Amino acid sequence: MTKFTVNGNPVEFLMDPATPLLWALREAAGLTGTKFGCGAGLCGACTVHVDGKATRSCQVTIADLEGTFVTTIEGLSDNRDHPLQQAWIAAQVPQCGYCQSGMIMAAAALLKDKPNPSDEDINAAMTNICRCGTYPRIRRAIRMAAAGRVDSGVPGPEIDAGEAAARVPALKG
Amino acid sequence: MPPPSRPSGRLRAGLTRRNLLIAAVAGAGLAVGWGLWPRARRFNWAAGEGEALLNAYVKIAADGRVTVAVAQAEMGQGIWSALAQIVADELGADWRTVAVEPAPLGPDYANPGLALGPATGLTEPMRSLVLGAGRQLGRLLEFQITGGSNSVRGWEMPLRVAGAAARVMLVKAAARRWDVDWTECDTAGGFVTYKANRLPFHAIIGAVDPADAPDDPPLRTRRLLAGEPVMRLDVPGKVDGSARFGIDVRLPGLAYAAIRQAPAGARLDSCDCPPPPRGLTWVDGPDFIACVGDSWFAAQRHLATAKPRWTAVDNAPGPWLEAAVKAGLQSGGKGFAPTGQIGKVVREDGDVAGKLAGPGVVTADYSLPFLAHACLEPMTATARITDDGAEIWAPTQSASLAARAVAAALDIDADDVVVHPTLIGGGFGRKVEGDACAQAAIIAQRVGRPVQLIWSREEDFGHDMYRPAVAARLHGSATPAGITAWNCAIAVPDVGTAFAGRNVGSLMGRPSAGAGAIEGAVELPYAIPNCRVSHVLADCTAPLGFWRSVGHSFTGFIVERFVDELALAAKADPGAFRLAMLKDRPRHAAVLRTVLEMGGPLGRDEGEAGQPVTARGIALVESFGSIVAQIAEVVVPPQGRPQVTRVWAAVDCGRVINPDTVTAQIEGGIIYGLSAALFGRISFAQGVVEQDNFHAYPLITMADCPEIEVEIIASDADPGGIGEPGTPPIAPAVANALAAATGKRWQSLPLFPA
Repeated sequence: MTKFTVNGNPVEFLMDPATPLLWALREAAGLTGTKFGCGAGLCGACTVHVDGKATRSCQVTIADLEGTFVTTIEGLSDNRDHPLQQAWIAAQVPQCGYCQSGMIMAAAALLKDKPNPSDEDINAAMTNICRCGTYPRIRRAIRMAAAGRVDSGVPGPEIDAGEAAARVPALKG
Repeated sequence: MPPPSRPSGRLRAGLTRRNLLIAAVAGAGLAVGWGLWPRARRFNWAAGEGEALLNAYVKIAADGRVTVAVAQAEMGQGIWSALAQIVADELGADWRTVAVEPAPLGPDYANPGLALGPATGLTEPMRSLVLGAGRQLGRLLEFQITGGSNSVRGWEMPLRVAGAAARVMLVKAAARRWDVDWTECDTAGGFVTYKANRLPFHAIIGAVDPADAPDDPPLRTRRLLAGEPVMRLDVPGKVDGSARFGIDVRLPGLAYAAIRQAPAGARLDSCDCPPPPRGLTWVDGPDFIACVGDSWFAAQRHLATAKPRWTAVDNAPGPWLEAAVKAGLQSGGKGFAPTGQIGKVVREDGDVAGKLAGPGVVTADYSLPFLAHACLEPMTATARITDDGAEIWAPTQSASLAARAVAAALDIDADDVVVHPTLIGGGFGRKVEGDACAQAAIIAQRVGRPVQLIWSREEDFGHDMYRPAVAARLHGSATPAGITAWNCAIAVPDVGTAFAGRNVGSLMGRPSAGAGAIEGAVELPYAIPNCRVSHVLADCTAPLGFWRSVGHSFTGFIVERFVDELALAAKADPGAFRLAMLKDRPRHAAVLRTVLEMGGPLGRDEGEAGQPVTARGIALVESFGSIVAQIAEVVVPPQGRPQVTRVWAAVDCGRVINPDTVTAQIEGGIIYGLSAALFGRISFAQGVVEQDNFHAYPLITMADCPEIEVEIIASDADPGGIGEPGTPPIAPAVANALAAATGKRWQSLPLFPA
């Protein structure tokens, strides 16, 4: 059986039950925010939440997930307004951006578990690879989010034309 | 950000920007709106409904959004934003209204910075002549490429002109409406202004007259946006999963392909491929077999059932490669002597043999390994065969080379290949190559469906274009006032010819010795009266490519480690020793002093026996037109592996467009270089790369990452590059710190091999 919940939606994947969650998300569910990096659980680019725990989705099959609740980067917030997403923008963390979905999901699981993580907690939880070297900014963004609500000033994708024009006079509403 | 599937055509050569503009907007008085005019007939940057195309780089939408065409690839260096920022600055746009689209292929989007390398070190008027010739050649070849840290350097002036030209057109239209002198109007925040009057850009675009396009528009004397740490345009989409990389392209009817390629030292002879299960198909191509189906995982899993037979090539890569590089520094069974010379001498000043004939000569042998790029997004490309050619979506650093590779693979004209560049999940020089694009096109043609090819991580490590192994022998002498003699020979293959032979074929000749292969070791910042530098051309049968900072990635280590060894021999402080040799180099000296203020003093801290030892080392490297000095702090415990705990960096990269991006690139360049310095090594055995995934090619992670502090030195000089210059100094800074801490010489990278 391959029925579980993804970002709040009950789904059944009509795929080989041995398919890793990563590929079911990317190829069947159209959720390409979760990335393929190594296929061996080493890099963390494919990190999602399974029942709230950070999980490397290349290492679990859809058969393993029956009845679970999976959250991907697309489901982390409604309008890019998770405190970590706002902190990530405020600290201008991403470079190429490829690892960032996995990084944010790993950090979100950390903060749920430890709202005020120490440096050692961050080191222990954030084992993902960022080839561009955004680690100092990731640490900064996690601390910002842990310290309180962050508003990056960048609106979410749901903003409508009227609201955008109200904020930016050069735009026509 | 636009979806990667935005269609684009091709622009034929021979059109100037000005007549393009006229083709685009002629027949002014289009009260019905720009979207109805068939402007795209000859001009290949498409305007959407209601958009005004002001020139090849700027369009403004009916709602006021400003879109900039960016020819350079976005791989994390922030170039989409930086180039848009240059345009927005001259245009007077509100940054919050600015968007970018990847430019299509065409002469307007050829890299104008291609000649920056050859022009380095030239004086006027040769410098301008070479730069001008390079720009013309780039346009002629329509050569679009991102590499060499030249994007801002090459594009700053053309894009300032484009932004200013668009500003003049808007200003003249508004001035006509107000019936005032246009030279008394300006723009700011997305408005044209005249005294207390202002009109938003979107209210004027319908009245823009193409005849107003100036050939030589006045540039701003005061920057509005350039130099400010504005938010990058690509960041929001990278925190919510919506940014689309090459691997995220989705097309109707898309199939996924997994691939197994012949090892670096073999050719595909034949393959026993058992009949595939329903839904999967085998495709064989030049030295690869692929499995294609509706799921990449299923295809990849099934690939293991194929039984390919490889035929080893002569001189397949193996441990002998590194040995051969080192052997290049010997003649007659003996190492190259202090007064001797070997290979091709590319610099000769003073009397090296005379100065190094006596006692007191320091000799050092350095070696560096092959390295992989290890981009986190593995090699991928998506291809669709069309009636009149092919379309390719790829995370490519060079749309031009992608088109050529696909054209060669399909035996069609490169003009019939449409390239859609996507965001790149790490490039670092690897993704200038068109290999995956060619494979995807072949597979798509064979299966008659659009295909997305994704290399497994194992394929990616096994089929990189590697940074070559390098060996060097240096002899030198010094007093506390500086280096008195320097005799340096570096053995390394000719990467440039390897790259060019693979990608542009007949344009380039055979591998040869020369200064280009050892950039950074020839023109030293330090005044050294007696100086000889030689390149020993090494043979290499492993595929080689450009790796972030290219030659500087090894010459930075060789030169700066040896400078420290000579400082030690002269019993001089490594900082004061360098400064004494920089009397005629005020910018270099300022960078060095700044980093010394940030992270000094150098050397080993006092400490108790049996306790961890802390020490700091320095390095200074100029590369790609920018000067970077770094101090690294190491803590060496009595047992266990030393840690790099802090790094301070000072940078002079001339005029800065976005200081936050500069800082980010220096941080990232340090960490990229630190992974290589501490652990990075690719090795070959019987033609096969031994490192197949991240467990065997460790990279810095959060727990190993030092604290990094960056300071940018204010400058009005022409911009330098910033994507690469952060990388070269870190390896020598760390090795110099370790030498101070331990008294050992740390002459071989990686410092802590697996």
